[in-house]
Amino acid sequence: MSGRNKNSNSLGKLGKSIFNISFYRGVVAIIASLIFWEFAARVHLPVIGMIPAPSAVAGSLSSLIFTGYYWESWYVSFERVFSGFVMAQIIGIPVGLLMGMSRKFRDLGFPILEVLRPIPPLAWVPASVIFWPTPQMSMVFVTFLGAFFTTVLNILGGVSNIDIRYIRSARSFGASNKDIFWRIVLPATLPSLCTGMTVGMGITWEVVVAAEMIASRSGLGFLTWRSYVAGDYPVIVIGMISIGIAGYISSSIIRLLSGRATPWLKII
Amino acid sequence: MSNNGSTVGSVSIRNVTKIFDPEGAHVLALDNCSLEIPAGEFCVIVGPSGCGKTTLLNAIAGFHGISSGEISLDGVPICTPEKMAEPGADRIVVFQNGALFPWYTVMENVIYGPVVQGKMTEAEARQAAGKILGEMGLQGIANCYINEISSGMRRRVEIARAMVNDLKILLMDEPYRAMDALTKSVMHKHLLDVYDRAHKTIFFITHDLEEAIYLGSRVVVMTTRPGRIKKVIDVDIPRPRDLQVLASERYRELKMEVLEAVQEEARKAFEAGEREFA
Amino acid sequence: MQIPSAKPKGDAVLAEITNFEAMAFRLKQWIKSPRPYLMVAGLLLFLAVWYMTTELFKLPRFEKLPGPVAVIREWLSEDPSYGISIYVSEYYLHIIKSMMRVFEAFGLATLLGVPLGLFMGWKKVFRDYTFPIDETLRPIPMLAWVPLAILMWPAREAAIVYLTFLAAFFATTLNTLLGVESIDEVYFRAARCLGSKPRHIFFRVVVPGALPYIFTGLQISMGVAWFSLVAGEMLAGEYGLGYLIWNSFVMVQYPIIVIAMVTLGFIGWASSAAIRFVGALLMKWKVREVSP
Ligand SMILES: Nc1ncnc2c1ncn2[C@@H]1O[C@H](COP(=O)(O)OP(=O)(O)O)[C@@H](O)[C@H]1O
Ligand SMILES: [Mg+2]
Repeated sequence: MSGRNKNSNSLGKLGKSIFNISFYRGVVAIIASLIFWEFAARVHLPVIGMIPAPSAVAGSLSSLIFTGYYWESWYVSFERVFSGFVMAQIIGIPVGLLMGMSRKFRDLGFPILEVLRPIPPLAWVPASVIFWPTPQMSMVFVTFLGAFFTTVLNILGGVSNIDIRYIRSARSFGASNKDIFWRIVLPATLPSLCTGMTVGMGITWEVVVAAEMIASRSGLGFLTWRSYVAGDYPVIVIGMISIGIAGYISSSIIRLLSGRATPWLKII
Repeated sequence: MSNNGSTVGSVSIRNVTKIFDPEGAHVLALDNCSLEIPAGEFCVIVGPSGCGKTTLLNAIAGFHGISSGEISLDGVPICTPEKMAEPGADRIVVFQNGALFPWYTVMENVIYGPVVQGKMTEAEARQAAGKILGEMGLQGIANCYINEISSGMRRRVEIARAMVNDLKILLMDEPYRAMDALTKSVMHKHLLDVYDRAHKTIFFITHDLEEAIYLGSRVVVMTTRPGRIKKVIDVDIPRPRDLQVLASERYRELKMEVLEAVQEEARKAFEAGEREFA
Repeated sequence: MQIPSAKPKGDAVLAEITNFEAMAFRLKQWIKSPRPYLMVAGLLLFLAVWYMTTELFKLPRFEKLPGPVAVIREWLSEDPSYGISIYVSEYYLHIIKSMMRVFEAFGLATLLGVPLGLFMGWKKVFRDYTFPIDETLRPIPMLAWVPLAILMWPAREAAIVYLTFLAAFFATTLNTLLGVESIDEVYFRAARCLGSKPRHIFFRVVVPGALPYIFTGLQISMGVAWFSLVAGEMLAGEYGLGYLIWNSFVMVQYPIIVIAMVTLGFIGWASSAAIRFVGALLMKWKVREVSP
């Protein structure tokens, strides 16, 4: 009986979450904003009226979407985000673990981290362009920086927050240092690593977009910036929305992988 | 004896039924419960986990409504299926895990009620609170924050925060759960003192049968879900009570009686595969 | 577990003294331990690697970067060769300009975002109407707004402040909302039991209960404000540290890039520290929680 109860309960919940009043209110709010946006653009309200109207955006979209240039921009930006992000994990995870597990390394490395971290990643763009031989490399480096500090700090936090009882308990079962690393430290740090990755992915997109505007001639960020320079204003909005979708897809992937990697965190 | 000389704070619960989520899961939590609590009684409710004790308390306090029946306070209906009770300072709850505001000090917590109700100025409230804290031996921690004091202290402060109001009934939902035996016995003594002094009705939920008999004037045993009133046992042990009570013959007889009633329900609950609900 | 008993007043004072002594003791232990020396060694190591790669051995590619000696010489020079040092008023002009922008944007974001977030958390109907709009806009990285911001506002200055504001505003609002949602339902119940009217619940439960999250939000907000400011200034600024970085890059005055970067890092760090300090002052109950 309790099983059936549970079932009907979750079905009921699903139905409610789709058809409940909050959902309708949300739809109303978004439609109202769209209408207001269109209206503001038509009557040239100050400031907000300068945003190209939804109708103009839709018009531009229908032609832009069939150009290779548009999809190429997607690809280029994704490639940069992906390379920078993966590099940040490959380097950041071992650094974080090393610093988390060895007090010496932590004392040695932490001040450097704390000195470099407050510098906004974009402030690195010129230095990066000077240093790296190709623009692509400098883009990826700045992207890497965006995610690197978050990864290291989250792992560091994760390792130092491991409940000492787990380690003691493992020791009392006769675990070696190797066992403790692979079977306790690593899984126990996984949730903070996932948090770090989610945050890092957000920062990565921010950085890529701005870096593309500042110092590159390709990618979604550049597409948006060029539309502004060329006076093709509706494309600015398309660029922004595309970036939003791209960022959303990336964080969804991270969230999905995080969920898979840490099944014990699921709420029953 | 059970009446304690008070005239306000009688609660009458008549044929109360509560169904959670009637369209969906349809959980029948309370099934036709009736109970009369005379003014000034120390009424203890026991029953297996998930039997609807908190549900009953919440209905009296005004946190949710009921599906049928009626609850009245001093003859005035406060909760009916049409209209749930408004939470108010005449029925104050001491919560299971405590609900002292951590962002206020002990003193600020205690004066909260009179000040927001506009019954006293802050200065008057401080004076009244100081008196109550003094009676309870808590004056030394008046300026501590909640996170700085022990769980036993917190319970006492929470009772002080309730008693400083002009309340009719004190509703306590397993307040001493998860406390060690020593602390608990200190808490019991303290609550008995408060009860003997204040002449207020107390509605007290617990799992602990010894506590139930030691404290209560009557012990109400509820059945496993759907919660009904299974048995009401009068505790005819005179007050003021002290630890001697625990060694008395009468206490043991009563305990046996309650234990039998509860065990039967606990077994049923276990067999029904009820999960442990907090 | 102790048997609870009333603590005499003197105890509090005693506890403070012992706390102070414990602190002094810990400080002594810390100085005796290898930790502070390792920390200094870490920083020196970093400087040494920087110096050796760029200035001493002039490794390929590294040689193009400004080295620490060049940077510090420029920074401390009374007659700097590229025009920026601690003796030059223009340096401070850039700093003040950036700080003013962040201050305006952060202040506005706090003034609007905190009440908005509190209100969204408190009134469900209000949240139902506003939250979906927030959720639709939020996935768009703040820096993607740069061109639109320039387009929307007639003046560059307003565009930069707007951009900085936008990032800070979202962080503040969202965290405040989370803060209200984090408040245990039991506190609302207790407040209602004790006879609170809605305004009491708002000012005595919602606001203090959400405060820890609000301050987390303000810290994040300050961080993203600097983050966006730099991008805005690089793309559209006249004055400001971000502009200084970009301009020095274009003019091939590389040491100034590093001076501006370090300055940015320091001011950004100091502003976060200031928020932490104010938060600790306002939330004594949280601070004391740590020390049992
Ligand atoms: N909001 C709710 N929705 C559905 N079922 C509930 C809800 N609250 C409580 N219940 C159910 O009602 C029953 C009684 O709960 P409760 O009164 O909390 O029990 P207890 O006697 O342990 O205090 C439980 O089986 C619980 O699952
Ligand atoms: Mg309960």
